[in-house]
Amino acid sequence: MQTVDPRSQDDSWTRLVDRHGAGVLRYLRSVVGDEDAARDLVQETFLKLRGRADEPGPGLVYTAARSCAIDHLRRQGARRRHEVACEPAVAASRPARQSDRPDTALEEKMLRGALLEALAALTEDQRTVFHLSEIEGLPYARIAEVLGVPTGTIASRKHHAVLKLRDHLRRLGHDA
Amino acid sequence: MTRDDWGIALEAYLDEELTTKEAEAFADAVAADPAKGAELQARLAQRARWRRALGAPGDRDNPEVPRLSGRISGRTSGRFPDRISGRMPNARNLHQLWMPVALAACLALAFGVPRLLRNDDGAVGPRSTITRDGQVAAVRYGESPGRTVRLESGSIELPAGLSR
Repeated sequence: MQTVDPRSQDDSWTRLVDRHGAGVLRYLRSVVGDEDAARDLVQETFLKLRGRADEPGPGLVYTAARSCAIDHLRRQGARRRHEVACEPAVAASRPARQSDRPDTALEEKMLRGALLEALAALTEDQRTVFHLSEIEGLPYARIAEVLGVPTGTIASRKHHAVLKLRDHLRRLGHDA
Repeated sequence: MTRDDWGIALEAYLDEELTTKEAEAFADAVAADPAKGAELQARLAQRARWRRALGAPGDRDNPEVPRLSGRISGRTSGRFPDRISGRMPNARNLHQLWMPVALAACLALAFGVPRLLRNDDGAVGPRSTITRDGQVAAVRYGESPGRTVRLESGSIELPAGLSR
C-alpha cells in the first residue's frame, strides 16, 4: 500500500497555493464581484483541494474555485447580481497599483471598477470563460474542463463576452 | 466569413488556440485588410488595459501573492485561526469577543460569591453567636456583632440589634 508522507503532502499543497492563489483570487473577484467574499472563497477552494494525494492541475483548481463561487452566488440569490452592479464604487476604491503618473493610476482604478460592474452583467459562464482566458491565460481545453463543455464553444463564449463588456464600458463612458 | 466568425477567430488567434495552418491563414487575412489589422491592434491594446486593471499573472508588484498564500498556509497550520477576509475582529466589533467573557464573569460572581459566603449550616452571612457562659448557644442569620446588651430575662449576652 502506498503511503504518503504528510510533510511532502504539506509541501505540495503549499506549492499549489503559491502557484495558483493569486490567480484564484483574481478569478473569484471577477465572478462574485466582492473582494471580501472572494478572499473567503479562496480559502474554501484550497481547503477543498487539501489532502489530495496528487497535485491538482489548473483545471481542477479552477473547477473547485468555480464550484465555491457558484455555491456562494446561490446563497446570495438573484438579489446579489443587483448588489454587485452597485459595487463599482467599492471596487474603484481599492488601492491602485503603483504607477509613475497619478492620473494613470486613477484611470486604471476607474477602469477596474467599470470592468467589475460590466462583468456582473455577464452570465457566470461568460465571466469564467473571459477571466480564465483573458486574465489568467488558461488554454481553452482547461477552461472547457472547468465548465464541463466542449472546447469548441469556449472561443465563441469568449467573443460574445468581450462584445458585451465592450458595449457596457462604452455605455459607462469608458474608451473600451 | 461572418462578423461573428471573424470575432471568434480573432479571439482564438490572440489566445494562440488556432492550428499553425489556421494562424497563417488568419495572419494573411489581416495583412490583406488594413481595417482588420487595426482591429487586431485595438484588441491587443484593450487586452493589455484590461489585464492591468484586473490583475494579471506575472505581476511581480502584486502584494497579494505572498500575503495570500501565507495566510492560507497559516490558516491550515493553525497559526491564523481567523478568516482572511476583511471581516476580521476589529475595534468596532471587539464586543463580540468580550461579551461572552463579561457574561461568564457576571455569572461567576452571581453564583460564586454566595457559595463562598455560605456557612457550614447553609446560612449565608457572617457567623454570629449568642453565648451563654462562654458556650455557643445559637447561631443567628444577619446579626452583626455589636455591643452587648443585658436582657431582663437573664444574663444572656446578645449582640446589638437583636430583639426577642
